[in-house]
Amino acid sequence: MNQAITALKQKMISDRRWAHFAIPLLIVGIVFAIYYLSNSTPNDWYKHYVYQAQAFLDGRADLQGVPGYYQDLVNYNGKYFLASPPVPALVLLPAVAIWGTGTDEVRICMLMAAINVALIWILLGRMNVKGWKRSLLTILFGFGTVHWQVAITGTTWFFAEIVAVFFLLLCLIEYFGRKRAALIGLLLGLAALSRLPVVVGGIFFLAMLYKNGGIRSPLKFIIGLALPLAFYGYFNYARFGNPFQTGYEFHSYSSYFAADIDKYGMFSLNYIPKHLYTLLLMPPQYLSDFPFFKPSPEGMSILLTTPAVLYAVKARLSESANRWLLLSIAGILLPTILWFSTGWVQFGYRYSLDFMPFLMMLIVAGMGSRISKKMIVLIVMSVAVNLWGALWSVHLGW
Amino acid sequence: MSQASSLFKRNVLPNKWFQAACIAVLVLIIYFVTSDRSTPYDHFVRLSDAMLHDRLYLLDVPDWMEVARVGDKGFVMEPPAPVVFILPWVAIWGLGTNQAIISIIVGAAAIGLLWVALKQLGWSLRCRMAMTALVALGTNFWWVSATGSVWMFAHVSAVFFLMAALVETTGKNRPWLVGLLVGLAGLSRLPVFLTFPFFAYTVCRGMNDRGRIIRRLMILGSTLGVMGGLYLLYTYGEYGTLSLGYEKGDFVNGALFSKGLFSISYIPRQINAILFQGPTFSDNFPFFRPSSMGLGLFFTTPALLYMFRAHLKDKLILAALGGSALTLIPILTYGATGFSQFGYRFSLDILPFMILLAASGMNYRLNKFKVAIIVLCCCINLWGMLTYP
Repeated sequence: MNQAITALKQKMISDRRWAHFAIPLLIVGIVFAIYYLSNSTPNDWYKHYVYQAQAFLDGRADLQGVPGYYQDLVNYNGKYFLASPPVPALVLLPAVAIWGTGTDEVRICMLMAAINVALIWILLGRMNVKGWKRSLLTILFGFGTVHWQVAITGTTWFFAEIVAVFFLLLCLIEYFGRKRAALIGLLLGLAALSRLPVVVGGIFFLAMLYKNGGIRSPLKFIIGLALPLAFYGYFNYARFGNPFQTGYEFHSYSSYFAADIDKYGMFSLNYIPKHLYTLLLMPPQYLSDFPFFKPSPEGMSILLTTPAVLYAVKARLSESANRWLLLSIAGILLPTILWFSTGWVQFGYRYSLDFMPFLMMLIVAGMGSRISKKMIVLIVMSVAVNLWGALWSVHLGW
Repeated sequence: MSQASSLFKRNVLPNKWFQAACIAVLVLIIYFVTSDRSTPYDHFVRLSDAMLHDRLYLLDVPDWMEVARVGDKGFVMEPPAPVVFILPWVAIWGLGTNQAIISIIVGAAAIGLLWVALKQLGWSLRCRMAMTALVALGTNFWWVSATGSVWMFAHVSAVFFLMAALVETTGKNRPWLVGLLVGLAGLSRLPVFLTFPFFAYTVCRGMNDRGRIIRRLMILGSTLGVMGGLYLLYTYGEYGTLSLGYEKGDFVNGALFSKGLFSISYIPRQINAILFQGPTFSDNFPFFRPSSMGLGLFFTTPALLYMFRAHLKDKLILAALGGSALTLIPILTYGATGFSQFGYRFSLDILPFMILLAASGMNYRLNKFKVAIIVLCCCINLWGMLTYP
């Protein structure tokens, strides 16, 4: 028996391929357990995508049986549709096929988010980040960004973020791996059909693929990207008779935004300051009693929720990849900051997840090769703030 | 003519006091142009007038004025040292003296003193210029100087005397004079008395003779003791009891001071004011407005984040940290956070030390990024000047 165990150990040590699967699986297990324990009794009260998935399974595009209190629906020709793009619903299809509209979207969101953390581990490996730095950055992503709170909230808008991150990470993994341009385009398209602004991240891939492989690679990338976008056009046509009609202009937004939308519309330059304020400056709310501070439901500055992003500032812009990353982040942010909503109700600035994988790459670039005490302190601070945010979020019933 | 010109270039231009005067004039012009040059809260003018009439209390005080009221007498609760700057003018112009303009002049002079102190510390020209610009235009000292109300002028006076103490301790370093100047700063803002650990280090800096060190520390300590005693005597003269003065105000009965003037339970609100108090959002240009509750220290002056990179192996920097830490104790445990204000005005009690720490964090060197941060600080404070409600 002992001999067999020793032989197995030696085989595992000599054949390190097991680590390619075992460590990511271990990460998924651990992260899922922590996410699960962070919010063991979720509200699960907004799961539009479950109803959309049920509609797909029934051969419909419209949503039926949706609870009366649901917002963000499109009432068109007497039917209810979902304005948000459909990929998160496609992801839920197997689960909804089994459990119907009783599907627990939050748990699936937690599971996908745990997979995201494993994906960032794989991505870092492909970026040649090794040892403790790889582990620390994985912890930073999983527990030191708003990814944690978004994962355990799991309602419609939060699930869309997690799915977008999932596909964007796959996209980057492929880019740092075999670089199949069409597949990268396809995966980016799927990310964009979870959160539309992510499509602008294509800037990075277009530029880098062109740099590495001439004009053919970007063309393949565009073809890959066109497939999901064409599907989205078809889906819109089937619903509204126009491939470019997403439905957003008809959707029943919360009364919380009514005054702004009446005044400026859904997209406006007037929304930029409040987005930038939320993203960069917004503090927590002060309480006169213990614990004295709570997260503002309007959001909180990324500098407070993830102080480790300061390392992104140190990334050398003389390197073209970093410049394109920065441009992609700015590009993804641009349509977001013109949008009427800053993400309320939320912990931190949840839209930052649209570009978080790119930002993580800049942080990697800015950190250098050595692990410093400051790096550890900033990561610990990031994790502490997000633990605080996650606990408050559950307590406040977000 | 050319001889006079070369004489000027050789003798006058490099003179630190001439340079300081030029800087003070420049700052004075900027402060003057951006200030309203008037304040209704001219307590120190009224107090100066009272003193010239052998009184320590004000008569016929308007209802809206914050004073300690005993019968028909109104006592100014703030310590009296700022009167030093105002008394001569009140002797000439009486109650028509403009406290806000004197605040601007004293504030500008304090910047000149900072220039001299930094030169005596041996900092490079670029570093001195950057740090002087940072204090003058990149901190809320600008707004405080330009406002000149009783609370703000107390800060301006304290900063002036602290800068003067810094000049003395980096120059001739006479312990009695350092003690006198720190004492006057303390008699402008009481917490500033607690900056003494820094000056205790500097008056003995580089000395090995134990007896000499003890003698100098005793001179410094006794001077400060005398100044503290004078304050107690002053409040005894006012109220007939030994007192800090502040506890006599009506405001101590308000909700802010539910646990007394000082309490550790007030620390979170001070931390909120220092770290998290943001601007208020507005629908109209420029979209952000300063809150009258204040603005976090690092929102107002992001360059101060360099303090966290200060080199604590340098004993001067360690002393600055020690002086700051002790001074922060009464500030952090005080019930009010400084309303109404731009920035966090209590931070001015340790302004010179914060600059020493930030400069150390910058390695006393500048690059484009650091210059950009300092320019950003100036822009934020210009915005404060232009938009403060």
